[in-house]
Amino acid sequence: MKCEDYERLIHLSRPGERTEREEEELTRHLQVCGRCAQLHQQMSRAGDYIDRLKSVTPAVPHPEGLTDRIVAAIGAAQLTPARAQSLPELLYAFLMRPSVRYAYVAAVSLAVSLFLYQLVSLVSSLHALEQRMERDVRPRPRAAVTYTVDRESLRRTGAMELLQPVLGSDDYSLSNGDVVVRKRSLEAYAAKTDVRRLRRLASTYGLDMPEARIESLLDELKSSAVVQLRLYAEGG
Amino acid sequence: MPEAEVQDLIIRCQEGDRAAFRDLVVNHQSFAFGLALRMLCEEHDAADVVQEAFVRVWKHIDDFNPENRFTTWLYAIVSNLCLDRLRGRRRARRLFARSEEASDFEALPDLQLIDEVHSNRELVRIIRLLAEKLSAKQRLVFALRDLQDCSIEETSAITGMSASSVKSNLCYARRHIREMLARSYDVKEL
Repeated sequence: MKCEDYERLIHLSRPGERTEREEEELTRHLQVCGRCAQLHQQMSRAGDYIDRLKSVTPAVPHPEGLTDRIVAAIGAAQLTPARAQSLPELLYAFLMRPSVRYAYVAAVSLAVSLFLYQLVSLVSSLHALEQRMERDVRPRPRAAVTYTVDRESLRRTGAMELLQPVLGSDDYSLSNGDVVVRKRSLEAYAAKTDVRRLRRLASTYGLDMPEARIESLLDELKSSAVVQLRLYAEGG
Repeated sequence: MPEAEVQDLIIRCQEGDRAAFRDLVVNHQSFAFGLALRMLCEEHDAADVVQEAFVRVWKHIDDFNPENRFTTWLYAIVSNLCLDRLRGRRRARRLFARSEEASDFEALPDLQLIDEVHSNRELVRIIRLLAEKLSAKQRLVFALRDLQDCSIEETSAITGMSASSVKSNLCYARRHIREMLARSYDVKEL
């Protein structure tokens, strides 16, 4: 042991505070260490001082007055000793503990969070389902959507001759006196065709058509296509 | 007062007998006051603590474990109340920045003169000089063990500290007191 350890033992100076072994070791150490011996002597005298101080008993200034004050305090507060509590009282007391109340708040918060999370999940699932159903119900573009244009009207306007070389054989057919044109082809035609192109085509095929006629023909074709498209879009 | 009589008084208190409670107070208030005064060094504060402690005793008398000594329970209540007050005082002292150095070199009475100390005022002056710089726990352990003559085990039961913690606090307290006495009187000459 070091002197610091012996110093601790020196301060545990009252009977019963040191073990027998500690007592023996301290006695041996005090014989060889002057500093610790001096501390021991100081502590022994300080112990005497404390013992003398202990013998001075504080006096209650007005003992009866203090007793009366205490008894009066109990009477004024109408206090009764806490009786053994019944089970509901114990349960109530337990539930009213701050820690238990914090636990309620935590549990309720958790439950609300879970509910909101499930609600959001449910709404998003419903939304996804709704979108899927909408996608399934929406009519898919058919492979070969066709427009039927009255053959006589085409012939009357001279469009028949114009359409024939423009459209490929796959996009154009005759059925019961009607011209059947693929939607895609007609859309492409309507988009691409302009007055200049029609004039060039007309001259190529030897058709003598005035420009105003070509323009009106083009408008007719486009509007026919638009009407057909609209009808189609409306489910016609 | 014999422990059997104390237990009898407690049983009567548990039945709501205020006369028995009065007897209990009469028989124990001086011990409680002694501890409170040695801890707080203020008569009024000590009396207030004793009153509050006995009110608590009455309120919680059904919680008293008859296997323990009543004084241990009472001292524990008084100790806790004193610790609360000491901490409150230290907070207030920090707030108002009162100098703690003023009392350092005030003379302690000679060993022989202690026998002539008869008033609480003189007693608390000495204890205050010796123990003012101690922490609340050190002061409590010193008061219980050295001034109230409680054993290490009792001190441990009252304070709720382990025996080794009680001894450690006691060592610090006694070292400080030894040094205080050495400074004030030159203990070599005591």
